[in-house]
Amino acid sequence: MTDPKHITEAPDESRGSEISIEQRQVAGLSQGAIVRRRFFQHRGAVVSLIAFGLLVLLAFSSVGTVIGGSGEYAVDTTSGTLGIDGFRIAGWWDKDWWTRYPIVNGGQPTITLWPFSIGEHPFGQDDLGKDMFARVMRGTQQSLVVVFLAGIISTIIGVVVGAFSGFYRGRIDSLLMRFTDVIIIIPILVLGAVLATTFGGDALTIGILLGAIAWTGLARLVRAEFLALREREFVDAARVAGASDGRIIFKHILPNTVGVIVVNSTLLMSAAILIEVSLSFLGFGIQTPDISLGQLINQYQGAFNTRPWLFWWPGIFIIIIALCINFVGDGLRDAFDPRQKRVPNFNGPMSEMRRWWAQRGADRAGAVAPGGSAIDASAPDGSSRGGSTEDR
Amino acid sequence: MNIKRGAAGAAVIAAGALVLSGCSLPYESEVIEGTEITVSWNDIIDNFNSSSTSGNNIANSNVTYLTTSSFNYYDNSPELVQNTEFGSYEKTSDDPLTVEYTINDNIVWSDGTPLDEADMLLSWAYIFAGVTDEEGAPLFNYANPRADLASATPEIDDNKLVLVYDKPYVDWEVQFGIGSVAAHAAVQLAYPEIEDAQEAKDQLVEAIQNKDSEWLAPVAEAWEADFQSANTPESDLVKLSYGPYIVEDLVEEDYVTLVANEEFAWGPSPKYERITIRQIADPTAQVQSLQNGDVQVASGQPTPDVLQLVQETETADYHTSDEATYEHVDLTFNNGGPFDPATYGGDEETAKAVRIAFLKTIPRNEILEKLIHPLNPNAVVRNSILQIPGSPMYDPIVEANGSAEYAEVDIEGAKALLEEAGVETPVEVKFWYPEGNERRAAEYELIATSAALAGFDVTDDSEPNWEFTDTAANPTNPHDAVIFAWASTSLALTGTDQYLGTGQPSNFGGYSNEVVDTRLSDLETELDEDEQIQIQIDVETELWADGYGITIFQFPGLTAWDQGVEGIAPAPLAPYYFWNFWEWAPSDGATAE
Amino acid sequence: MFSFVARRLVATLLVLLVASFVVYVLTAVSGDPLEELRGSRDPDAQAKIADLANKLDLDTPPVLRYFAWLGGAAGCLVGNCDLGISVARGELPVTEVIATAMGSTLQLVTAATILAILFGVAIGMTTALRQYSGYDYTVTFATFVFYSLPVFWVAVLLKQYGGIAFNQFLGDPVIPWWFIPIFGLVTGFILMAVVGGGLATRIKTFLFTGLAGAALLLLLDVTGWFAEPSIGIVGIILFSVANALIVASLTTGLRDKPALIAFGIAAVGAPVALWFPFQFLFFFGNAWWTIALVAIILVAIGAIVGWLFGGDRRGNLARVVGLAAGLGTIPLVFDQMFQRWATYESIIPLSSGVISTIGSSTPAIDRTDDYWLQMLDSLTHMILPTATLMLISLAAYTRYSRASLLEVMNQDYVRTARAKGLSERVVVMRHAFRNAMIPIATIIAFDFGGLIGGAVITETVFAWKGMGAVFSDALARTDVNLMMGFFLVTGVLAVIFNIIADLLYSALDPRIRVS
Repeated sequence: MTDPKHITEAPDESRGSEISIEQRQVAGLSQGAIVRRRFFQHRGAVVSLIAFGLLVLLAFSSVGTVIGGSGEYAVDTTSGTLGIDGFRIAGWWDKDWWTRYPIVNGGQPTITLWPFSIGEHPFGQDDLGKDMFARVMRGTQQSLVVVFLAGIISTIIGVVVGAFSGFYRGRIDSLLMRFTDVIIIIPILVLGAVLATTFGGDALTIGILLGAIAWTGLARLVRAEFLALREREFVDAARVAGASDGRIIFKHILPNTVGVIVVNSTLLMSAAILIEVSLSFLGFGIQTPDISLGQLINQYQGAFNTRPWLFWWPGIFIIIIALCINFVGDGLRDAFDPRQKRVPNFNGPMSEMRRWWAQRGADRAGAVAPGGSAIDASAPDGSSRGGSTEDR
Repeated sequence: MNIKRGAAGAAVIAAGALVLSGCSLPYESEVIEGTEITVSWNDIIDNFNSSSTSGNNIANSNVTYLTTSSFNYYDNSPELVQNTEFGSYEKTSDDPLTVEYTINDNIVWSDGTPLDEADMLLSWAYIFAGVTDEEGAPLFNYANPRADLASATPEIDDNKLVLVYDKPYVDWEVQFGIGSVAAHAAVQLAYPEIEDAQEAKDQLVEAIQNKDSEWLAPVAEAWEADFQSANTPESDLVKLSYGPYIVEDLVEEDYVTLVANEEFAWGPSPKYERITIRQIADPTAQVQSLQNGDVQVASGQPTPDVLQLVQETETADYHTSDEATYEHVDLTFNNGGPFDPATYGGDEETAKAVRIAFLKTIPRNEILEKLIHPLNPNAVVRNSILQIPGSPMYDPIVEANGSAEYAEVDIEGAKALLEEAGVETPVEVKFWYPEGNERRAAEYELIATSAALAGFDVTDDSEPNWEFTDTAANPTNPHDAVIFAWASTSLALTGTDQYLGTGQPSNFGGYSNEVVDTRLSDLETELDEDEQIQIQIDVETELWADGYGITIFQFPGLTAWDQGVEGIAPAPLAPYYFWNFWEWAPSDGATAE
Repeated sequence: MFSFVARRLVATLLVLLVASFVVYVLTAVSGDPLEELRGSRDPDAQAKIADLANKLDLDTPPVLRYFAWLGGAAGCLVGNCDLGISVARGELPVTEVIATAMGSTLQLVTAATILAILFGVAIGMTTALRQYSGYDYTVTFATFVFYSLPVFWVAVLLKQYGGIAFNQFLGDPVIPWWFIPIFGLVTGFILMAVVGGGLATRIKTFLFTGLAGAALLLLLDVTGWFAEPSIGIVGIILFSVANALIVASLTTGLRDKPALIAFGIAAVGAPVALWFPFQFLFFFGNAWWTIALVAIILVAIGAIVGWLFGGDRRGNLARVVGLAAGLGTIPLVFDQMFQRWATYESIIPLSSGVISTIGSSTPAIDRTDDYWLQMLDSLTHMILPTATLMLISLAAYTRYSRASLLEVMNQDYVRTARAKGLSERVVVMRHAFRNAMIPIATIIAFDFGGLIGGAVITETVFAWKGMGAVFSDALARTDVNLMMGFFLVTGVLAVIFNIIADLLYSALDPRIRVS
């Protein structure tokens, strides 16, 4: 459970040399390399990133997707089979999310862990015989579309609004910030629900809508960064050198705020999937025949007691997505703003035991080891590392 | 736990206990002291006048059903039952149609004021728009005023009212009744200076007889507005009762508690001292609170999961049955689509062939089997447009109306019809269902895949809004076929012209058939039952032959109740399971000790 | 300071005005309030449609209709509110609907916020102090999981397991024998992780708390406490001692003799000694003010005792002992409620157990005039929805206070305090804690919007009739007036919360006032 550093370095003497090791690690590296290195030290974030990548791959490769078209049901008039309007790209899973298959095993999941077998319908079937695995995968796709659309759009709007507001100050600032206040004061669920009822509920629309309303917090943060940064010398220098406003904003100041932006965008994305779920729960989200995880969970919420597989599978995927994004966000925050990282000021029981074990060996050898309390007394110096990031 | 509750509950509420032996009447109350039943419904009362435009809905009617008595009511067959302990009515003449209503003696409102002819006259004044303002509009904002039926001020006598109809009227038996508002209450709320109830009634009778609209205007206003109340009303006049229960406690959107009416002695006696109706909208939540014991009765539209949840609840019994609401597909005749003769250059026959071909492909049995049978194993395909399965007229009508043509999916027949008509396939049908409604989306899937085999391309035209029903904005229905449900609230024969008649407000498909129009207006004035059946057969034969649309199934209803309660017998028509509330009783096991 | 607040207030009111216009128009164009009627075959549907179209002035375009609405709403400023009628709620005036709905939601949101702050800050701070320990990792992971949970998911699970299943357990409260040692192990392990320290301390903590936990559970099981729970004088003594120890260890430390005596007299002695006389007060008072009175009496006793024993730091000691003594009100109040347990069980309709899954009160209890019974009833109804809302915001508060304290602990002045040789307790509680609280003040305002959203869903699951139901009804029926009522309440509350946050912020952090 200790930080990976402790394991790689000699645990006995690590306390005193910790800082210099850390400093040595980042010496001579670019900001990007430092960030990357710090991010990869966050085990949770790395695992989450990999898991998330696998999830995206699984969701899109398994059942394929449909591109273009109205997204509504269409019937093949020759065979009388149901399809979805649009160009269909098939995946490796041979079932799709709209066909009614004959019900196998009372609709229960056919997946078994021992002996491992996937079976006909690993996640079970709903009352019409639709394959839950395909539905959950399609729902994951659509939820991911919502998440990414909302994340990208709200980031763009938030950055632009915040940047202009913070850079130009004065009238533009107060106008933009009052506009931000107007959006902020309307609870996001209200705004989302009202807009979704008006503009209809497919994944694209909901994603765009959420993006259009979720940017307010980011705009405020970016504005605060800009207010501080525009007073800095390098901005003056750029201005004297004759750089245009646009160039100063996007080439000089913006790169310095990327930490705040990246971290908050991930938080926005994890919020977006939960808002989509809430909207669906209230019946204002994505509508059939389109599927999202929230809509699935809402559709089958009554099945919680009776056919739990209908309720749990989509729920688990929601949690996995949100959890992955949150952990990645945490890793990014640590990477961009390591001030909260701190060398532990006490020794965990594990290291104490290890030390005790080592000491025992040393005692046998007849040497006298220093007491643990002496190590504790050396106050950790974490704040010096904070100097490497921008002031807030 | 039940046992303990009964004893302690009685002790706690003993102070407010009812006087059961104080009654001088031979009537014996069977109210068991200290008993209370909590039931759930998806909405509760917010208006004590369930007759006014704003108050006329099922939630209000359910409560006023408990606080009023009536000349007749629907049981769970459904059949109309007379309640002679309250009063009687008698048709004394067919021409002109004359009905004499008599209220029994000793029937009083809960404040002790007798219920008499003044209350009946007030009912006449709003039901038949007896009093109008200067512009001729009905003074009372009644939900469905019929100025054309009985315009003459009725004769009144002690507890008696003689209603003379202007023309014969088929549904006369359910047309008139006494509402939930006391005549003296409406007057006293409008004119607080009139303190004596009898005086208030006398003045009201006089004003109605003289059509004194100026004096009546405040009464009409009080009749509508003063009875709106989402919480326990401040004035006792608002919650006056002449039924077995009185509203005791009302909390907005939460619950209403009714307590047994001490004065009540004219009808079957209820057993529970209190009935609490809790508002729980979601059927799963209702069943969960039944499991938890929060409520003793739950009801609603089941899903397979709700049903299974009920089945797994060991402490509950349940009943699945048909409700009066039925699902149907309607076709559009005037929007230039595949079912409109104009598309084929006005060729009626071709359009009709396309319509019939389409209806023949609708897999009604499959829909029933896949979607409804899991919820109500006894459900049957509905084959009559006018009558609900199980009603006395249903069988004779179905036998003769031509619905047998559509009994089974007939792909080959449909193909042949299309070929004969010389229509190019695939025929595109824009099919509407309410977006987000899972069951109808599934119905669409079944219909679309079946119809495709015969050469129909049924496209998904679902929208969240029912825009086509706004006839002002959409004079013609943009969808070629729509699926939705009509809800019936009574067995009345009239009212079907609203959606079948030419140009009527609920006729969204632009259907028009002269025979149907005239026969339906015949039906309104036909008093002979055999004739009534014949007329309905005539109408339906036209409808089925025209390919007007197709009926599919009755909505399944589920009522579940705790085993500590007995006497619950769900009914398909309003007031649903409330209809026999006086028979509800704690079951023997719960009260024996 | 005043002009700062005044300026902000005017600006916010303008924002509120514009936002109300946006909500009005957006809601109005989102659907048709008469939709339900249009699909009705009732013969009176047409009359109703005409009637409502007239009442709601539907022929006027929404943009103009807004100003008519605004005119009515402006009346609220002079005490003559007219927010129109609600189609979704039987054409009642919106003001009436909102007045009823607001109460229960405020109750829910306030309780959840307070609990979330209390627990969130406590957990967040302890994880910060034990950073990168197993405890920290576990809690961090758990908060991320909670952070990622959909609200209604939590609500549905709590309803099933915390409500229905728990009630079934209460119906026949038999604890399986194997559960008791497991409970002891888990309790010991958790507390060991929280307390931390060296190996020896950990083993001691583990053994002590584990045994105590198991013993307590065994005692409760053997005495049939779960069937007939009560607190009584024993419970009050136990709670008071624990309370005094916790407050003392956080404030003065356990080595401070005079302080300990003061705590012993005021925080343990006073509630226990006054338990009997207070019975009469509670019984005859039968209202909320008796609680306030008891709290005031206890705080006063605590303050006086603290002052007397305080010596040269009497001000400080008077404050903390007063606080500890005041907290003694809690077991007294709970004792009152639990005394009515049997009566309560006999009145409520539940077949077993007491945890209700619907609504905010039991009708039969509302009819009684026993304040304590009603309070118990509120408690059993509020526990699940409050827990749901709390769990969701708890995660946020934990994360933020952990981050905040970590940031503060790395500041120079904390290092200075350590260097001076101050004990860890003094460094954390005196120097770091207050500064770490500053950012939390602003988060409360931010969190509010999320809580309202969460309340909408929680209320739906638990069939509460609050603002959540107002919102979903309004949107489902396109009831613009009702939606505006909802928005007015949440908007005004958001404004108030923001102003409170501003004030708190400037009070906690003097630098803000300069700008």
